[in-house]
Parts: sequence; C-alpha cells; structure tokens
Amino acid sequence: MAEDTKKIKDNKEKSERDEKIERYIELLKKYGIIVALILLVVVISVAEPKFLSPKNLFNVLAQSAIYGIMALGLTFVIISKGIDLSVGSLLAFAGIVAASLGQVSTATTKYFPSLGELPVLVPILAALIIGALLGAVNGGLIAFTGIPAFIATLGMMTIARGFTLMYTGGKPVSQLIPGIKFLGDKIGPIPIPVIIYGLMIFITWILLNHTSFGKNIYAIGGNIKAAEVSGVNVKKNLVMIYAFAGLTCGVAALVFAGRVGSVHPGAALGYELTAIAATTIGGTSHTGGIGTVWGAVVGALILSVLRNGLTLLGVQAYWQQIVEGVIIIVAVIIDMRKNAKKK
Amino acid sequence: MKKILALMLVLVLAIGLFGCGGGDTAGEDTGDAGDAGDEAVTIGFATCNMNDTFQTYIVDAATAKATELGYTLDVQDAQEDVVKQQDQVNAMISQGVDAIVVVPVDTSAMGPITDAVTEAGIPLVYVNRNPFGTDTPPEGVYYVGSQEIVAGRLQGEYLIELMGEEGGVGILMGLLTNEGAVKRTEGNEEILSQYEGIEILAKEAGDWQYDKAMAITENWITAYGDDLNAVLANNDGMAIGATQALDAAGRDDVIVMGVDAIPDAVNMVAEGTLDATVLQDADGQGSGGIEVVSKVLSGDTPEPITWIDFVLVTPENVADFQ
Repeated sequence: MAEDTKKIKDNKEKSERDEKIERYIELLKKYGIIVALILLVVVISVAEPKFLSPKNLFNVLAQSAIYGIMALGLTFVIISKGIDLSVGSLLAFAGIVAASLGQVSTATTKYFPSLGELPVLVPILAALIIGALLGAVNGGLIAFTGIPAFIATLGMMTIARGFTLMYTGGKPVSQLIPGIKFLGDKIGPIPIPVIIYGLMIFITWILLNHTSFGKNIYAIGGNIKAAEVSGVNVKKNLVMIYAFAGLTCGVAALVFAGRVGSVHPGAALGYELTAIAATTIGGTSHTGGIGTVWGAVVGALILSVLRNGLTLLGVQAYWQQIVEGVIIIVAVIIDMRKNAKKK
Repeated sequence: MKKILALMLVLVLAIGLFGCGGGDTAGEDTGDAGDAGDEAVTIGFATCNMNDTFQTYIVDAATAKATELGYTLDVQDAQEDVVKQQDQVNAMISQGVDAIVVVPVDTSAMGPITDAVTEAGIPLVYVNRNPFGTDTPPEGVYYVGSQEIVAGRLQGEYLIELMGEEGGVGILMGLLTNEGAVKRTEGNEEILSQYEGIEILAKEAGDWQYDKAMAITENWITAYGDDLNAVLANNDGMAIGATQALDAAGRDDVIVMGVDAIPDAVNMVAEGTLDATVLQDADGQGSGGIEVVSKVLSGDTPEPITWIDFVLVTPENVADFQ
C-alpha cells in the first residue's frame, strides 16, 4: 500500500518535472534568439573583456543602427509575406539627394552652387519623402499589377541605384552641414544614431501592436484572401507597408549621412541582404503572418555583436562572412521547426 | 499600343545618348585630321563602363590625345557586359578601323577579342585592366596600365617615413574578389614586413564602403587602443570612413592613407585630416594608350607593356592635384 502511494507520488513528480522541462523548452524556443545573443555576448566578453566597455557597447549599438532601422521596415514587409530588395538602393538615393541639399555653402564640389545653406529640415524631409514615395511605388506595383514583391522590388533596386548614379555622375557628395553631421554625433556618451534607432523601434512597435494597420499586416501575411473577405483593404495596406519600409530607408540614410559625413552613390550596396538577414535571424517568418519588432532588433544586434566581436578577437575577414552565413541558415532552421510545431 | 511604342522609342534614344555620349565629342574633330597625313586615322575605343567615373577620365584623356594627334576616336561603351564588348570590337574590325583600344570588362575573357583583332592584323592596345597577368602580350598587342601593387608599396614606404620603423598598422581592404584590393594589400605587406618593429594588427575587408570601414576602425580603436598607429586603406572612401571614426574618438595621432585621390580625399590631404592618398593616373593611362597606337602606326615597335606610375599625394605636393 505504502509502496503504491510512493509510486503514484513518483509519477506525479515525474510528470511535474516533465512539464517544467517542457515549459523551459517552450520558453527557450520563444526567446531562444535572446539566449543566443546573451551567449554570444558572454563568450566574446570572456575572450576579450574590452567588449563590455560602455564605449564599445555604444559602438555596437550605433553600428547596428543603419541596417537595424531598415530591418524594422522589412519586418512589416516580411510579416505581410512580401520581400523588399530595394532598401539598400532607396537608402543610397534618399541619402544622396539629402546630402546634395545639405552641403555647406563653402563646399568645394557643391551640387547646387546657387543654393547656399538650407536649414537642416530640408534635407531631412527630402530623405523621408523620397524614401516613403519610392516605397509606395513598390507597394503600388505589388498591389495593383499583382507582380510578385521579389520582382517589383528587384526592379526598384536597379532603378533607384541608376537614379543615384545619374544624379551624382558617380561622385560622392560631401562637406555636409553641421545639422546633418549632428545626426551621427553623440550626446554625452550616447550616440545619436542609437537614440534615433530607439525612437524608430518605439514607433514601429506601436504601429505593429497597437493599431489596426498592425493587425492588418498580420492578417495579410497570415492569409491574404481571408483578410480581404473580412474587410481589410489589402491594396491600401500593401502600399502603406512598403511606404513605411521606404521611410525607414530615409531615416537610415540620414543616420548614414550623419555618421559618415558624406554619401557616395555606392552607399549601402548589398545592405538589403544584411537587413533581411537581421529580420530573419530575429524570427520573422518568410511564410508570412509571424514576426516581432524585438526580433528584428535582436537579429540586428546579433549581427553587429558578431562583427564587432570577431574584429576585437582579430578573426580573419573571410571567416566573418562564413560565420554570418551559417548563423542565418541555423536561425531559419530553428524558426521553421518552431513554426511547424505550432501548426 | 502607341504609348508603348513611344516609350520604347524614348528608351532607345536614351540608350543611344548614353552610349555615344563620349563618342560625339571625338567625332566632331574628324574632318581636319592634320598631322596624321592625308588619310584620316580612326581608332576604335571600347570602354568597359561609362558609368564608372574613373573610366570617364580615361576616355576623356584618350579623346584629348587623339584630337591632338588628329585621330578620330570612335568610343563604344560595353556597360560591363563582356559579350557586348566582343560585339562592339567585332563591329570595329568590320568597320576597318586603324587600331583598337580596349578597356576590358573582364580580364579573363579577352581571349576571343585578342584573337579576332590580331587575326585581322589590327594593332590592339589594352588599357587599365591587364588581361595578361604576368605573361607578355602576344605580338601586335600592347598593355598600358598601372601596377596595383605599387599603390600599396607607396603607402607603405610613406608610412615608414612618417611613423618610423615601429608601430601597429591596420589595413582596410576592398572587396576581396577585386584585384585592386588584393594587390594593394600585398604591396602594403611587402614593405611593412621588412621592419621587425612594425606589426600588422589586423586586415579587414571594408568592401570599399565608407561606413563599413568606419565601423571596423571603431572596433580597432577598442581592440588595440594606443597600439594602433596607422590605418592604410585600399581606397579613399574607406580612408575617409576611418578618419571619421578616429576623429570621433579624439585620435588625431593615427596616420591614415587612401588610394584614388578623389577630390574629397585631396582636399582632406590639403587640410591635414588625411595624411596621403595615391593617384591612379587616369590621364596617363588614357593618353598613354593613344600614344602607343601612334607609335605603332608610325612604324615603331613600342614596349609590349607600358607602366603608368601611381603618384603619391602628400601635403607637400597636394597643391598640384587640386
């Protein structure tokens, strides 16, 4: 008798333990990407304590700001089951126009010689408007002609880069006004790109989680037909999604101009892939309907921690690219298993 | 339908304008070919890409030289398409030009062009990008260009002059698939490795990009601190990115050099914010190509390879380049 109760008790304990383990696994799956980031930070800081210096940590954040901001816009796009290959080119075009409107009056190669010095608001608005407008063209093409997002944005990628080259004749635009350079500067120890990035994270989070626009993005990505039937204006929302992605390129372009102090026509070449990688590592699923803002942030951080860490450790340039590629693939494998189980 | 036709027409016109932009100016000087004798000499010039600023400098220099010598220069733009370049050269052959100058789109794919032109008995000069590697060009074929490795050596030698024989150096490399990146870095290492007191702390690929180079330099400042005494960049863009990072960290003690002598970099050398840049002499290459043609046409046999020197731009001589 006594033995029986013991057995029952044992079984109960066992199942309780199993449950606990299962809960941990669930948590790990949900927040695995954060665990990975923490692990990465621990390993690197043990190998190289300089990593943890506040200055270096701010560097890591500032270095992730440019593609991190683009990854925020891409999060919307990818949740809606789309893709945007044009973000790097949009950054370059928005950046080069903003830079040409934001040169000091004494610049040796001035793009608009008769313009003098404009208030910093002009280049800022120019970058944001160009980004959003070209993004809206992407969205419009996808919504109204029905061509796949991959094709529409691939076309835009080439077109915007072409515009950039034509606009500049292949030459960089430099000697920018202090107002633009300020965007790449610091307040105390905090880099302004980090502040801008933080602001954009907040805006994106609000849009995605606390507006009907956000709900529509998930609905479109989850099942576009069902979304349409339930009264979502899919076309309008698609235009808005890509316009927002374009807008983030405009913001990233301003951070780029501020940090570098000039913009060249080859700027952000290939950054669409870095931004897509950040979004993907962060668990936003290319099958649509799944993704979070914090995922994109953590994904971007993992990439910049990795780059920073490997540099601090003196790892060969070739290896950095290889490691990045492996991480992207592993992240998607984990992601697919996670989502497959859900279904 | 009409609209589509109109659009196509506009596109064709636009392509025509872009494609022949360089050729037009040369074409105007055809009629009065003076010094070249009674027969007007036409040279086909196949450039790789007119969207590449540096290449337009080469075309401009070649055009100027040809005009000076009374030649007609027929410029064709392959827009980085190797097949298109072959077609253009073949068209030049059938057109019966007196000589052909080619800036290769792809140095490993010039075999067919070399064969076709030499078979037709037309003198052929390659400019800027060397299709022969370490080999000597075949008879009747010439190369005019610069040795990328020399740019790296010039940086290294000037660094020793500025820094002395001791210190830590970071090298910012371009895209690792480009010959320019590999050779310029090799040139750096060749010089620096001769000094025991000099340590190459790190070599990283900034992929020619300003902001990537800036991030790498920020990380180097963290990693190596005061041990970092100099940054040698494979191009000016990356050098400018490095100076941004160093400025922000208050490290004006670090020596920075680039390659290309783009106007921004030249200005920075004049201001003292950049220590040096290296000029790849587009004028020398463009006019050098035409000079080789002129020698061949007048019956001389020039050297198969003409090296155009890189020029180190420092605060001492920067005024000549502004």
